Amino acid sequence: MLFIKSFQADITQTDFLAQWLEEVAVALEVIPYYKLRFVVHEAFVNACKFAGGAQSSIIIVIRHQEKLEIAITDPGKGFKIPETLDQVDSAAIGFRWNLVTDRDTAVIAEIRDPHTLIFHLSTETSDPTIELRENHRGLISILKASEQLSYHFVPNSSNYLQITC
Amino acid sequence: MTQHVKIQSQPNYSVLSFEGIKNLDANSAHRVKAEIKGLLDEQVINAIIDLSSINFVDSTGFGALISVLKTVKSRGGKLILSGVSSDVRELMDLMQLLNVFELSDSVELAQSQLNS
Repeated sequence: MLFIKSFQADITQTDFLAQWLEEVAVALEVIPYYKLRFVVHEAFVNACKFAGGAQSSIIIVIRHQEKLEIAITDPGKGFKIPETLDQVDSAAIGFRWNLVTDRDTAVIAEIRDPHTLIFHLSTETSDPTIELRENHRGLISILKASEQLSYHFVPNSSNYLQITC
Repeated sequence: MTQHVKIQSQPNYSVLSFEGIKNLDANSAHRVKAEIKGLLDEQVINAIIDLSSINFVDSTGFGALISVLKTVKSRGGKLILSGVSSDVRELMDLMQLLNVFELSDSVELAQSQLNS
C-alpha cells in the first residue's frame, strides 16, 4: 500500500496532517494511529523548521511492504551536513559522531554512504550536565518510536528523512 | 489573547485544565507552558493537570509538562497528571515518561492522593 500527500510547510497544518493520517492508519491496519501520527508529526514539524517558509511544500510518502516506511521531504537543510558529501572518500564511510547529547541519551549519526546518514540512540554517551534542547527532542522521540531512521541527500532534489517502523 | 488554561485553587493544591485546545503540541505548548507558569504563583505547591480534554501530545508538549514538573518539584511540591487518554499514555510509554510523571485516572483520585 502506498500513500502520498503534499502539505504546506507550516506547523499550523498539523491538524490536516492528523486527519489524513487517521485515514491512512485505518487503511494500513499495521500501526496504531497514535504512533503513526506521533512519528510523522515530529518529522513534519522538524521539516517545517528548516523549510524556509510556508510557501514550500513537504511531501509525505507512506509505504507498507514487509515493514512500514515513511519518507518526509525536507525542502531546506534539515541537518547541517557538509555540502561536500559527494566528495566523501571511502574512509569516511562508517564514521560516527554524537549529533545530539542530553542527560539520558545521545543520538549517534553515522555516514552509511556519501548520500545517507543513519541515526542510532545510545545511552552510553549521554551527558547528565546537558539540558535537552527543543530541536533535539523531535529526533530523539522519532528514534524511540521507530526501528530505523536515516536521512538521504538527493542531488538536485529534495532531501528526505526516512523512518522505518 | 484567549487563555487556554484554567485554574481552580484549593488550600492544598491547584487544578489546571484546558479549554479550547485538544493538542499539546508545537502549535500550542509554548503558550500553554507560559500560561501555566503564570498561574502557578509561588504559593502553589502541589498541582494537578487535567489532561482529559487533550487527545495528542508531541515532544514539545511533553517538554512543556516536564518543565512544569521541574518548577513544582523545585518548590518541594508534587505534580499529578490526571485523565490521561489511552493514546497519550501509550505515547508516554514510548517516550519512557511513565516513570517520570505521577498519573491518576481522574481529578478526584488525584485530589485524594494529595490529601492523603
